[in-house]
Amino acid sequence: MEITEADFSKLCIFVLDDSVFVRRLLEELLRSFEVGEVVSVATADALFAEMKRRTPDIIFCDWQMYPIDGLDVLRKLRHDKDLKHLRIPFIMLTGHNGNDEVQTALGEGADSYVVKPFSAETIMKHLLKVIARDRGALIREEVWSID
Amino acid sequence: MTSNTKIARAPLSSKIGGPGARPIAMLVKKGEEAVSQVRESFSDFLGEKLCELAKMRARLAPDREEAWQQFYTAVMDLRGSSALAGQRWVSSLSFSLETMLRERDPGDLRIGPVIASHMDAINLVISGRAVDDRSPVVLLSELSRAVDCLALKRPRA
Repeated sequence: MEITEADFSKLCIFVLDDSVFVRRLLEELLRSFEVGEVVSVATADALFAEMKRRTPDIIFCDWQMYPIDGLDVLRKLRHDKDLKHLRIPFIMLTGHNGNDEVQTALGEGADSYVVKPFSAETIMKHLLKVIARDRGALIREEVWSID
Repeated sequence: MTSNTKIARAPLSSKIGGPGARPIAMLVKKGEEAVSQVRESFSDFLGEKLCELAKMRARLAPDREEAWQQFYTAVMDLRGSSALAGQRWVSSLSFSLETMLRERDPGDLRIGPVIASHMDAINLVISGRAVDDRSPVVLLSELSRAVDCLALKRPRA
């Protein structure tokens, strides 16, 4: 079902991009959408440090960064024993639009893929797509007891 | 043994409803205005980026792979950011440089002057001294001819 209205004030979105300009653009864009909290960082280390303080609802992440790129960040989120259970929705940002690149990102667990340059409408479209598809995350615990 | 299932994270759709919901079209319009305002600040970013690239260029040497990687990443950023800011010619010139860095052999001694020519072309376009809309086309064409003379990267063994 198409989402035609939304209140994003309860969302916390992290932005990871090594470009000052792109970070500023996304911050202002997401704030104009009335997202409750927008946290932007320049490195993967800074992202994971912030995640020790709070868990984001969505992550926008640039692919082309050095030395740790967006694919490295995604792999850690999907495989790290302390993070993978959260299944945090992840939107990859990139300048490449080849089919191989798209399939690689989606295959590693990205929920969506945005090619730069992007517009306000494009970011909103991907935001809503990821929100609509998200099913949350569950933890199953097995409890042994002696009867 | 029993198993308990706990909610680690509720679905995001449960967080965006309620009486404060705004029409998406209205939010997109606000977003477009925000993007326009940020684009106006691009020239400040561009000035800083070009200084950063000049410093990185000075550190390039055939055997310094990390320096080349950092320079390449910075050029990619310039290309993407200038495209986002609607700076078509800066983006096109940066893309030419980016492609050259990806495909050509850094050991080819002619690569240094071709990099310098790209940077000069970008500075010319930004300064507004590229006389008309045809000038960047001519610049790109000349740069492309220079790049074609360079050796291709050897595939890794």
